Amino acid sequence: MLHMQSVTKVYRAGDVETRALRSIDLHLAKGEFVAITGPSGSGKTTLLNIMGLLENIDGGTYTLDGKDVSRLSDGECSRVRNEKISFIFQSYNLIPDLSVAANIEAPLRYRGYSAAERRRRVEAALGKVGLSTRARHLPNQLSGGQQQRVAIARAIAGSPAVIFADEPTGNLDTQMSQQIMDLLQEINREGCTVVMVTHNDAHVERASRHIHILDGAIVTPAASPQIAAVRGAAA
Amino acid sequence: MEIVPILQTFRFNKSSLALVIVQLAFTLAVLVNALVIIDAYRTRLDMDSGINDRALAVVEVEPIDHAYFSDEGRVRNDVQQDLEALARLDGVAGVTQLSSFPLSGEGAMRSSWPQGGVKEKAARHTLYAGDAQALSTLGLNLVAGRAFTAEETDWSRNPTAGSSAGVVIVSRALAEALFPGAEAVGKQLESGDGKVETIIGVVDRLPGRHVLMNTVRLAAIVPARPLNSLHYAVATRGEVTPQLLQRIDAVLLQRSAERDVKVDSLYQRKIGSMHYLFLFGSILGFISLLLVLVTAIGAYSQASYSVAKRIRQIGTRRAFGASKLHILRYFLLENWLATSMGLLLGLLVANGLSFVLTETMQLPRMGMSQLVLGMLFIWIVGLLSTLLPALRAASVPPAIATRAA
Amino acid sequence: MILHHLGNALRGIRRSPVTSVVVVASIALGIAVSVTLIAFYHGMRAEPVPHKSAQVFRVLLDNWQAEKPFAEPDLAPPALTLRDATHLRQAGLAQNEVALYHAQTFVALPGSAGERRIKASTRATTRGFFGLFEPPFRYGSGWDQGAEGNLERVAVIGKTLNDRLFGGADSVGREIEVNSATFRIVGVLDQWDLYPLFYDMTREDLVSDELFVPFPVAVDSLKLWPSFSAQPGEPAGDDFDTRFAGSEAVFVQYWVQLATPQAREAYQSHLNGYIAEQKRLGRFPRAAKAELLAIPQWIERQQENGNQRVFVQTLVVVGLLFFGICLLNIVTLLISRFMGNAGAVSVLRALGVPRWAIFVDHITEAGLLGLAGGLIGLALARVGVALIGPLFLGASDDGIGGSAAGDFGGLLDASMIATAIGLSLLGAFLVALYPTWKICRIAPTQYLKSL
Ligand SMILES: Nc1ncnc2c1ncn2[C@@H]1O[C@H](COP(=O)(O)OP(=O)(O)OP(=O)(O)O)[C@@H](O)[C@H]1O
Ligand SMILES: [Mg+2]
Repeated sequence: MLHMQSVTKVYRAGDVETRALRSIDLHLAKGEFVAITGPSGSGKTTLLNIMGLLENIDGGTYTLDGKDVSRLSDGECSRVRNEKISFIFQSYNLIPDLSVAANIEAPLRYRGYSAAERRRRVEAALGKVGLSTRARHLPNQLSGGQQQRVAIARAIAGSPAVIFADEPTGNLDTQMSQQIMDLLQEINREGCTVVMVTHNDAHVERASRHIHILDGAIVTPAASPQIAAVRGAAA
Repeated sequence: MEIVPILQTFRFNKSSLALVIVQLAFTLAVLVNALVIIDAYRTRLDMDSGINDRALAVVEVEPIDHAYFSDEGRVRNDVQQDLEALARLDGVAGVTQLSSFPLSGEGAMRSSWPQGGVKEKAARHTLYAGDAQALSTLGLNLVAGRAFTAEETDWSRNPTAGSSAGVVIVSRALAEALFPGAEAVGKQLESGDGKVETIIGVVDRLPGRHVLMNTVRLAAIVPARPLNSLHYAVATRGEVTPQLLQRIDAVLLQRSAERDVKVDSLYQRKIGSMHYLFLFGSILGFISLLLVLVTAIGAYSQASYSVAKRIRQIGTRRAFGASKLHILRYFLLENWLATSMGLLLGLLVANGLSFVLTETMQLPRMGMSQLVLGMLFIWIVGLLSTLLPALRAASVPPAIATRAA
Repeated sequence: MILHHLGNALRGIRRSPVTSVVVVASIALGIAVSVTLIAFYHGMRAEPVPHKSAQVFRVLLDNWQAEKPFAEPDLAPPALTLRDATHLRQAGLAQNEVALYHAQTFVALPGSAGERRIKASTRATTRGFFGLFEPPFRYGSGWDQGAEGNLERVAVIGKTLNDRLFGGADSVGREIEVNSATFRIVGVLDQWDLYPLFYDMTREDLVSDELFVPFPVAVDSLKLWPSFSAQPGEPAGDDFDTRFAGSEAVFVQYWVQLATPQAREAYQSHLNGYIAEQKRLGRFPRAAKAELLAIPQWIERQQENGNQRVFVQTLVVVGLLFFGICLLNIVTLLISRFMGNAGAVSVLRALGVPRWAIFVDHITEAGLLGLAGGLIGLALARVGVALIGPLFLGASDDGIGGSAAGDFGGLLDASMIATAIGLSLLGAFLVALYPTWKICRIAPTQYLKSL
């Protein structure tokens, strides 16, 4: 469902050019659970942003769900994001002055759902992450793990085709991280494609596919002793 | 629309919201009341008072030596010659000698009541004294009875006391105030010190001495030729021109330089009589423009602050599919809601201020049109001043959501 | 230490120049509008000769008819009859006594017959006027006792009239025609702006006099008709003498200087005795009322129900409201400006800078902005006063005198400058209080993460 061919991304800040992605070729099928790893600054977030249509590519082609999205306008990108894509962020990015329910509801508004439909979806999503009782709370009245669960509820409420998660457990302790991973896996089992950046090898384990990035390019697991080791341990 | 969530976020900015609301409320109050005053000034200025003040020149001749007025023969002679000289001028349609001029801001007032009636029911009205040409020169329209005859108009040192004929002509409004529903002509009018006059005529309209008086429609005129002042009204063919005023001035000074001549169009005099209203309206109008400017700066900085605080949240919304338009609309709507709350409170404050001004300065009460105009103006200014910050918000890149720490 | 805080405050101002400009501009606008309007109110109530405030009194005697007072509630007329004034002057019990009234005259240079004359606001006064009210002389002085006694036709003219007639030159000794009489100039005044014309106050629109002539000359030989006169009942006659000389018509405005409370008491009892004596002659039908009003009381009495007073008061309220709104506007600006610095403040706090030092820095910053706004506002108010002033008093008569000639700069005196600066500082501190409190609450580590 997601095809990238020779995708490149270059950042220019003044005279300095950073080639954040060099010729990415990537094909994801529906229902995959992909883990992306790589050292800091290697381009993981950039790749995620590109896949999630938060940023435009500078070269190559990108098709999502059979549609060429390489050169969409800002408005068209917004519509595709709204209909097919969701995000989970390392720092949750909940809107601090909206209640939990209102946070989950916010993206649904851009889709033009009726109030009743929005309420139904918010309740369902909250039920799924086990926070039905916290609907009226404010984000800062919740723990980090709870906040991230709210963020997950927000991500799944619109039934997206694919969820991109950038280090979703980066700010959480091990136990909380487990809970989040369980949730993501469950969501994935229900048919949603999940692409997740992580630094945690144990989490890579849970993925159905592993992509490693070095210096803006995808490297094959064999070329990387570290990944081979991980594979070995899993076997 | 995101009205409910925006209202929810207001709970977290209570203090700055309160500031905005109070500020807008007072801005609206001052603006609306400035509009009320400007409106009042304009309508009074253009009010059809019953005489054509643009085609009437008013002349006040002031002898250099006040002792002049002790020589009655000389006064009579001068008045006659002045009037003749004025009547001979090109463009002059008629001349008359009056004790004072309608709408000029000056002149005698008195209270009159039906003879034998209760003094408490008296009507307070302006009183003029004039000669037999007064009605025709002022262009007054006699609707009942008759005009003065030349015999009735005596020379008098106390002209508003009337002539020995004991007759008076009243405006229709005064007739109706004194004798509601009845024929006024032939009725007797009493006015203190046992003085009684018979109403011989009713004119359609005769404005009082000041356009801002509530009783501006109540006036009467008695037949007398003043021996204590040299005041002439000159009806002109077409509107009064500066050239004509100059010629009037010249011809009167030429008759004698031992006096000062002041000549204006009646319209100009009317403007002068409303000087305070004009001044108050201008100052208040100027202040309310400044207020709107200050409010616009306030709305701008408020919106800028609110955008700067929410860069991350905007990025997140964008990531979840909000278009630029959604973001723009969000901030405009937020401002609009705050503005509307301010205007709502402003309705009360404006009403209060209007009440105070009505009580202290005898100004008209505020009306719907001024309120609506003021609110529309502030709404538009509010939206315009939020536009820039809102556009800035709309151009926040969605990648902020993953990039900002 | 103070320098340190000032330095911090200045750095704060430089950090966000745009908000600084907006804050200063808002305060300046608010000060400009409110101070301009307050200045007119202040001017209306100013004490023209402050060092004599406690010594100079307006004399009022109630000679009105028994049936109704001159004005409600039971007020005496604002002037005296000529005969009462003459009696008081003859008694001469006060240190200085001045009789005066206002008239319009027409002035020309000799030999300019047939030309239009200049209408001049004229003050007929006894010579004590110049010593009592201390108008500033540019050339010459007031006339002397002998001139007044001999009914000499001498005059003091104002600056505007001197400019008009003599191009501002020293005209002492020159002659002018006043109505049809020739007068010799003995003194020329400098600019003397009085708002209101406190020594008269019988009409709201009088502002400055341009010609001063001896009272006896005006009354006895010129027979100058007073601008303000009133009488109980009908006028006694139409020529000057029957109307004003022996009648109950009041038009003479009377001032006395009484240096001590004892002198005042003595004069009061003299007045009471005078009324009692006149009552025996069948005058003063009302309950005996003789008043000595100090200048501020006199101004207050005459303005109390005047249009101008209400008008200016309303404007002052509107002006202060405007200032308040400008201040409200700044609060949000200051919050965002101070909070923009939250990161740095939180580091400083972590490094051990106490809360009060942060407070002082920020409140000093606001104070500096307020001061700048106040000074600029004062400069703007100077323009505002000059712009509105002529409109304000332009309602009065044409001709010279009668309306103000100056540019009203005198309205912004030391006390108004102090008011402007005080208001701006107070305003700045008030609006800075909440934002400063907010920034002082920042915990040392709260914003470290976002650095
Ligand atoms: N907006 C930008 N402008 C310029 N350079 C950028 C920008 N965003 C990212 N980069 C650069 O692109 C490269 C890839 O950055 P990216 O954020 O994708 O790394 P990452 O793999 O997510 O690292 P980390 O694990 O630390 O999050 C880095 O060298 C970074 O400096
Ligand atoms: Mg990253």
